[in-house]
Amino acid sequence: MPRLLISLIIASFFAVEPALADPLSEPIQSLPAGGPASNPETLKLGEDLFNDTRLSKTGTVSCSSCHNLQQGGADSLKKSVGINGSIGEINAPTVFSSGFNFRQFWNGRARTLEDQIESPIQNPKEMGSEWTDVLTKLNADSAYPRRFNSLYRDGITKENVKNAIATFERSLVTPNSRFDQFLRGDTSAISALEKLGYQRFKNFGCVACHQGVNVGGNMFQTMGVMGNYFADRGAPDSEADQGRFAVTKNQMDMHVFRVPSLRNVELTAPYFHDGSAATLGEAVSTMAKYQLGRKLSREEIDSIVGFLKTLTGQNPLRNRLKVGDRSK
Amino acid sequence: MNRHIVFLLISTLGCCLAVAFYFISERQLTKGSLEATKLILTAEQADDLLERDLLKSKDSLLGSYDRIVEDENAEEKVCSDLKGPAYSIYFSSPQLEILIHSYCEALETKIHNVELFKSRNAVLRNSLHLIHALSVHEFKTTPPQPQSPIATAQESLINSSLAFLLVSTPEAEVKLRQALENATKLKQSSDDLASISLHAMQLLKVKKEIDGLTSQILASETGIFLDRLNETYLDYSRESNERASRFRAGLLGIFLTLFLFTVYCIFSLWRAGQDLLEANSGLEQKIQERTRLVQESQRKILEQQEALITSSKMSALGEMAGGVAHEINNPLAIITMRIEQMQDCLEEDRFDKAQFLNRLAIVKKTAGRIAKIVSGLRFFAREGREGMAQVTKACSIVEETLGFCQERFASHGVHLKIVKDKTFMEAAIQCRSVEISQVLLNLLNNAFDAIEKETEKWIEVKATDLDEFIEISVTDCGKGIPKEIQDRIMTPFFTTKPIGQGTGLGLSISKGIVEGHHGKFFIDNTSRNTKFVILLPKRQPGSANQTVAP
Repeated sequence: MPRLLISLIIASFFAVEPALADPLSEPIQSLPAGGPASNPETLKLGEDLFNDTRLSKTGTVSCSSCHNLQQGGADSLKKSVGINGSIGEINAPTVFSSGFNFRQFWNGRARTLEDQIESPIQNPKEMGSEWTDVLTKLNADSAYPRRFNSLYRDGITKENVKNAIATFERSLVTPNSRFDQFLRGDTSAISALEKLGYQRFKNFGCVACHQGVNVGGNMFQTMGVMGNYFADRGAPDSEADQGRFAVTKNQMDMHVFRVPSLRNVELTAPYFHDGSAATLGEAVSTMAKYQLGRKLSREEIDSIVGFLKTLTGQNPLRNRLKVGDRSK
Repeated sequence: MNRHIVFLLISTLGCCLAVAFYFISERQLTKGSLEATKLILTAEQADDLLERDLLKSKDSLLGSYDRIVEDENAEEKVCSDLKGPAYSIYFSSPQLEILIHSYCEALETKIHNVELFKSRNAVLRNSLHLIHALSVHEFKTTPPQPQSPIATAQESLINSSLAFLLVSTPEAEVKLRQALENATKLKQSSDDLASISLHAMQLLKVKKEIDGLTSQILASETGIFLDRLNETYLDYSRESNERASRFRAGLLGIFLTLFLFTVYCIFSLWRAGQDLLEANSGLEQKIQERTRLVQESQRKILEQQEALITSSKMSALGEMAGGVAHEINNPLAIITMRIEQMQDCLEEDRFDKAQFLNRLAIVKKTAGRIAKIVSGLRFFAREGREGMAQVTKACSIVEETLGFCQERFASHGVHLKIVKDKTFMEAAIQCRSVEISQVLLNLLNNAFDAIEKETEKWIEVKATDLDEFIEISVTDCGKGIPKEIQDRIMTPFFTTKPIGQGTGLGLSISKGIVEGHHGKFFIDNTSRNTKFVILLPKRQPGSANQTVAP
């Protein structure tokens, strides 16, 4: 009898669900092709600035030094290296599809990509520049003043430099991943194992945080809901480990981070803000333990990793990312 | 002040006022803009959407937060718009600003709660997934057999968890807590049980938190503030509209005033134009009348001038009459005396033939002189105007004229010098000799009058032949004419003689006569004495046939 009750309850729960659920059939939506429409001249200018080492104090580091567009929009390091070889505090998140993130940075302290640019340019462990120096260097260039003047009424300014770079970054979407094809109705775009992985991704609760068009990037979550990740890790807490607490100084925000997007996750190892997970499998296992309170089997992990690799989309600069070519 | 400047000032002032009123009323009107109302409505919609999407995701196992993020962004954008410069004109009232500020603060709190909700709801979903999976697994696999304590504990945990999820009453919570306690009291355990226990604990914690957050979010004051903002804004915009319409009325008033003023100006300009036209036509009439009068006067003047010339001639004649009487008296006395002498001699019979003849010769000569004077008078009294210019001997004119006054001058002790060059004696001149004689006589009379008081009186008449011209000058011993009256001396009715003695016409008529002969009549200032000069051409232009005077 109790079982019947249970089954009824469950049945009622799920019977109610479709009526209340999101009208879209899946909690993950496919990426729109291409970024927002923008002036090609601005995009080119933004790209040149993105690759310009003059933005750093020593002239050795550009945005692309850590956000390598050939390497998934990030570097392959645990923590990024800035000017004079100084090691940064945190793992570089990918720049790809970053325009879809509701906040920027691991702790979500910037609302827009424009605001985000401020920090790495001035951080002494990253580019270590001052805006006045940057603007002076850009003004001394043979082409920049003309290009800025043709695009912006007030020429080379801090705001315009940020706008050009952010406009370029917003164009860095990686559409048409195999999973996106699947979402659009091409059910053969992913293999059975990958489908199983996706099913587990949903059933285990990963999808509770990694959802939406960017498979994450639209909410905050505590690192270590079902266990104390930082105590188990051992290393002492840095300011970067505090997450949002560093921004709000609210105890509730301790160890709270913006949930990262899982798009192109295959290309952005190592994982987590501290870069502690070297492989996807390791990352999935750690997430299951500390976020879901589950211990996953090897087979379960492999299937989920299989699913995650279907999230690799086309490189906006090349036709398709290196590894993404496998399927077709 | 000039009427134009007043007009300009009033128009400029009116225009400035009108422009100012226009902008103020525009400003007031934009304050009552639909844009602002739209913005508030957008905020209300976004607020409602946010709450609706939140409730949807609260009750669902799956689903994306993208919608919620969109709603959050939309509402935050409205908030920054409300505060931003683009809309500041619509909300420039302290009351509205306070409401906007309160709304944005409430929104901040709300969004903070929504973020927390998203995190906690994800945890809850995760736990739900686990419990669901386990319950399904159990429902499918457990055969009907005596249950192990672990299985019982597991079942009771699942049951109470789901019950708590569905109703979340205190009873359900108590049951869940009991089930948890029972599970932890068991000596043995399984992975599933541990997992379920962990998640049930999370459930207890998170479910209440989510319910709290949800009710906080739903009770958020954003909606209230937006409603109040809307209401207040409607009042405010209505007031602004009223103010704007007042300014518009002012604007209309200014325009009307300006219009009336312009109409008045145009009207007065038109009136001025009419007056001018009238004056113009009157003027023409007047000019015509004047011209007619002038012409008439000219004619009269000409007539009178002619009469004047005659009368001045007569007056000169009258003047001359005394002289003539004198001229005639002397010879008459001589004649009378000689006749008396001869009479006496005849009465006393003392007849001496030679003596008689001598005396008779004297009488004859003297009578001849009288005859000469009379003949001169007759010459002079001839009417001159009508006559054509006739060729006359120049010296005869001078001699005839001098004949009138020689005696008089001599008797008044005036020494008359006459200088004629030899060619002059033979020179002929085409002229109206009477008129020239009149001019000369006039000059002689003037000279005679002018030097009355001088001690050594002399008058010099000099006649010169200058080939084409004849010059006759009359110089007296006077010391010249003062410069200041020289200019006026030739004008009619100017005289320095005592009233009753001179007509004041002599010189002007003389000048007229000489100029009528195409000659010149002027005062020679190079001379030390008073010297008048008559310069006459020998031939008058346009008279081809010359007739010698009889």
